[in-house]
Amino acid sequence: MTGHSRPPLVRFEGVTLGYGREEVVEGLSFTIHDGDFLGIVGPNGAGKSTILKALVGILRPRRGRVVYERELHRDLRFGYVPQRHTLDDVFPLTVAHIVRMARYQEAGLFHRPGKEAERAIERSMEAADILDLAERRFQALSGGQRQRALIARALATGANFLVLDEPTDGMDLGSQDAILRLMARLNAEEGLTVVFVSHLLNEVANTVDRLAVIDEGRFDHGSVAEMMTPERLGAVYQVPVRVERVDGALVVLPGGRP
Amino acid sequence: MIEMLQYAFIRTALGGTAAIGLVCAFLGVYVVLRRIVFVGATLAEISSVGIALGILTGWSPNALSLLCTFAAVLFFANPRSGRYLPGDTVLGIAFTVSAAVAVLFVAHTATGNEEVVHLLQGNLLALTAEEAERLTIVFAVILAVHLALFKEFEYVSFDPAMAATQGYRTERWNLAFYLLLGLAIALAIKAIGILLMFAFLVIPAALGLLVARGLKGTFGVAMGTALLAVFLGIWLSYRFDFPSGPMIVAVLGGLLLTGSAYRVVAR
Repeated sequence: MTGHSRPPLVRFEGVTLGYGREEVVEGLSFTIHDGDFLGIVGPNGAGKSTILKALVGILRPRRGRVVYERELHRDLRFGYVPQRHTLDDVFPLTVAHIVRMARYQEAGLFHRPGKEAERAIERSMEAADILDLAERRFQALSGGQRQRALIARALATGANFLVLDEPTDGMDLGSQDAILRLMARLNAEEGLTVVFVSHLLNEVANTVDRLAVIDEGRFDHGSVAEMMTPERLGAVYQVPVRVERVDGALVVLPGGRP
Repeated sequence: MIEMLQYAFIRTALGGTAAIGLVCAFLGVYVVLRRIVFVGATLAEISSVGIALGILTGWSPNALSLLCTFAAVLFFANPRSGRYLPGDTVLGIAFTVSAAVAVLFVAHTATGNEEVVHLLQGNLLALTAEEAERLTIVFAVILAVHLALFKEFEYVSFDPAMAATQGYRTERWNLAFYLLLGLAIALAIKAIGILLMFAFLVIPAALGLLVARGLKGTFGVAMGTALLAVFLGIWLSYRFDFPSGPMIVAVLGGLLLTGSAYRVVAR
C-alpha cells in the first residue's frame, strides 16, 4: 500500500481465520516491515486479537498463509503481551516470577533460568520501569503496572518484535498515555517492531506511524497520513467521518463535513 | 496418639492415606488455580463408575476405573467436547449421570448399599500393606514428574497463550496434566473414596491460598495441611470410634476455618 524503505518481516497473503464454524477474518493481505510501529484498530469482535494470534503463530490460517521473512531477519523473536484480564488473579505470583517465565523455554526441561537469564529479566523490568515492583504480587498492581509487567516479560524473551493485545483497554487516561509512550520509546530507541490492537482510533492514530483499520470484514492499512482521511476511514466504517486537528493531534469525528 | 501406631492396619492406613493426601493436595493447587474444581469432581464420579462396574462384573475395579477416567480425560481434553454445549454443562451432565450409573451398577450386588457407602467415603482402614505400598510408589512417581516439570506446568497453567508463542505445545502439556490428575483420582477413589479424595483436592489448596505467600508457599501449606489432617483425623477416629474418611474431611474443614479466621485477623 505504501512505499516502504525497511525490509518486510511478515506477510499476510489472503489469510482467512476463524474458530469452530465461524470465520472471523477473510482474505487478509498486508505486510509488516522491520521497525514498524503498527496499530490495528477496530471494534470489539472485529477479529483484531485473532490477527495477532495468527501473527505469533498460535492460530493457523484456514486459507492463505502467513510468511515470515527469516532470510531478512533470521532471529525473529516475538514478545507477546496478552490482554491482561485473561490472566487469572488467583495465581499468587510476584512480578519478578511472572517476568522470569519468559526464560523458561530457553532454560529447557528440568532446568531453572540461570544467571544470564536473571540479568536479562532485571534489564527488561528496568526497561519497562517496574524494577521497584519486582517483589510485589501481580494481583495487587494497578492496570497500568500490570501492563508494564507483561511488557517486561515480553522483553525478557529477547524479543525484537513486540505484539500487544489491547494494551490500554480499561485504563485511565494517564496510564493509557504512559503505556503508549513506553511502546513508542521501545520502537524508537530499542528498534523493536511493535504491533498492537486497540479499539481507540484517536489514541492509536496519534501514537503509531502505520495504521490498519478493520470493521465487519473490511480492512485497510497504510501510513497514518494516508489512513486518516475521511475517504479512507469512511470506506472502512461505512459512515461519513470528519478528521480534524486539535492542538496538533488528529481527531476523528462521526458525521460528514460540517 | 502414639498408642494407635501399635496396630499394623492403622500404620498402613496412615502411610497410604498420607501418600494420597500429599499428592492430591499438590495437584489440588493446580485444580483450584486453574478453576477446574468441577472437572475434578466429575472425573471422580466417572472413576467410581469403573469401580462399580468392577464390583458388578468381577473384573479389576482399578483397571476399569483407570479406563473410564482416561477415556473421560481424552474426551474433556478435546476442544471439540464443548462445541455444541457449554463446557460446564457437559461436565454437569457427566457428573450426575456417572453418579447415578455407579449406584445402579452396585444396587443389585450382594453388598449393594455397603458398596455405595464405600464408593463415597472409602474404607481406608481396610487398605492392605501391598495396596498401600503400590499406591505410595505410583503417587511418588506422579509427584516426581510434577516436580521435575514444575516450571512447564506452572507456565501453561498461568498463561497458555504466551507459552504457546514460545513453542510450548500447550494442548499436549494440558493432556499430560489431566492424565496425571486422572491417574491420581482413579487410584485414590478406590482406596479412600470420593469424599476424602475430593476434599484433599480442594481444601488444602484453598487454605494454602488463604494463608501462604507465593506459589511455593501455597504448595507447602497445602501438602502440610493434608498431612496434618491425615494424622489428626485417623487419631480422632481411633480415639472416638468414628469413620476415618469423614473424620479427616472434618479436620480439613476445621483447619480451613482456622486459616480463614487467621486471614481475617491478620488483615
